Amino acid sequence: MSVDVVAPTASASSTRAAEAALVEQAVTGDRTAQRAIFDQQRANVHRTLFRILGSNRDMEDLVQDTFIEVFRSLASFRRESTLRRWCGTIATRTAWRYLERRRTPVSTSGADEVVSDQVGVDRRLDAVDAVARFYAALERMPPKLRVTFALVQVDGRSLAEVAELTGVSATAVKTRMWRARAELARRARRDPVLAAYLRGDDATLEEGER
Amino acid sequence: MSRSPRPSPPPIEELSELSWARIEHKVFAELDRAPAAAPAPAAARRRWALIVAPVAALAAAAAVVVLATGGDAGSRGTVAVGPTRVEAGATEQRVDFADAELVVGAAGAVILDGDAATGALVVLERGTVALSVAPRVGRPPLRVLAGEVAIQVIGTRFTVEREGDGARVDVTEGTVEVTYRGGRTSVHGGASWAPAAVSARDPDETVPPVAVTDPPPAPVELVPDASPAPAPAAKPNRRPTARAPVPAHGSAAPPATDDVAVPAPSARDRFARASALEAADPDQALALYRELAAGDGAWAANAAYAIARLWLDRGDLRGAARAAERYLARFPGGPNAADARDIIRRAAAHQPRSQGTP
Repeated sequence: MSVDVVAPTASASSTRAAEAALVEQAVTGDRTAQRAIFDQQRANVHRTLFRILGSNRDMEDLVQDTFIEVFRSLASFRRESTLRRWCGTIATRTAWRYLERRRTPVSTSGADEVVSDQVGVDRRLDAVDAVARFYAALERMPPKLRVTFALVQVDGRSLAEVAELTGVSATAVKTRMWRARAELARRARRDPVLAAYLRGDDATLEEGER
Repeated sequence: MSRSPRPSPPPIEELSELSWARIEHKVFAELDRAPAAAPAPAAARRRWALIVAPVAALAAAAAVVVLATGGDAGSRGTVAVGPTRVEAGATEQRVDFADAELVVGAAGAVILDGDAATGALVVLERGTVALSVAPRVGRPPLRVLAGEVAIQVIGTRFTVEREGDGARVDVTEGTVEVTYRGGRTSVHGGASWAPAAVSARDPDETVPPVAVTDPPPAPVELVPDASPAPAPAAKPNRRPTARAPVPAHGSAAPPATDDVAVPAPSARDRFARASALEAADPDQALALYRELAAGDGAWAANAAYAIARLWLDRGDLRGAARAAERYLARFPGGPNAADARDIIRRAAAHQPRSQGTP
């Protein structure tokens, strides 16, 4: 089920002004304004979380945590950023903390990896299967690599934007992308389905890092 | 930074409106518990008190507003969903459902089932829902069920307002079909229909009369098989004849026997039948819900929760809490789990007087 978010149709400047006014109202505890922000940003928050995590597991709690943080820290919202970007940053932090919390020791032996030798390279590429393998591979990465890679490669955000979202420099984002890509390539050597999925990404990744 | 076309990213699995309603509920409940430094308006502080007001009071004032427009159906995805309950909090909830846009009014609740490809059903439990619906010509049906009144959208703009057990239909453009107590009425643009008191904007406009016999209680079109479910506490007569629909203007309605017979009602139909009976014969509705809840599947979960909600509507918090506990025992992660827990919390907080056992 999709949800329509009423998008402003005015110019960028008037949109910013309206957004600033809305934030000011919300900071005072105006529930109507807070609900307007919730309605405007919920799709953005969910999208950011979903792209990083790859599923809706624990999503209600994560969206809830994100919005509570959004409203509790709304007074610190800097107007030079957009509310969308700001909410995205908080969602990214929420996802990051979540990944850190639930992180389990990662085996590098390959014993727990998806071994696809039996599958055969001539198997019809199943998109769902490929995506599952992709996120299974991301699951084994450190959160900072996973978050960065998901936002850049999966969600298509620019390096600069991801740098802002994750609070690091663009150079650090590039480094993380390189490491994430190397890690995925290592796993893809044992998983032709994942390899096929990543082959489509590789060209984009290389171009995106230039 | 320019980018070459990327492979399609994994599709985002949208959260249901029920999930969003729960999230919104929890977010603002949390903010209410720990308000910001700036004082919230008094109205906001009273919000939850308003939300947890007796559902019966909401049902009494229930209204449904249906706006069918010639909107661009192509801009909407065809969404296949199981039965989904959408409950609005203190503000309205927007939902894209089938090829319609729904706005569930504050404190309203609807159950959505079906999709644009096979037909869609909107069951209004309480409150208000506004729909923008593409014309149905060449499209599967979209029906709205509000109490005992069923509205089939044909492709027009009209308003349905819940009035007690009945509803009032005001048609602005086009035509709708209203089914009530086995009678079916086509209501055209500029005309109005109501079960007890009809007013027409155009006195020359004709609105066919509705059958005033004692037909099966549920709308024929939605519940073609009217064989009664086990109902030990069912009342033989649901209401006095005086409350039956009265003719307003115009010609006779098409007979209900025009409806296509279906061998056995689906779970959805049975749920709709129970829902239609809630106001007029809650005992019968409870019996039907129990029968449905004894089965499996999404409608069993919906029915199990509906039992709790119906007890709540009847003012029996203790009975509602017991039913809610049974719901949670069977469906701990069900779509209404949060609502069921809320009922239990409310029951614990209010020291209710017992009126019976569900």
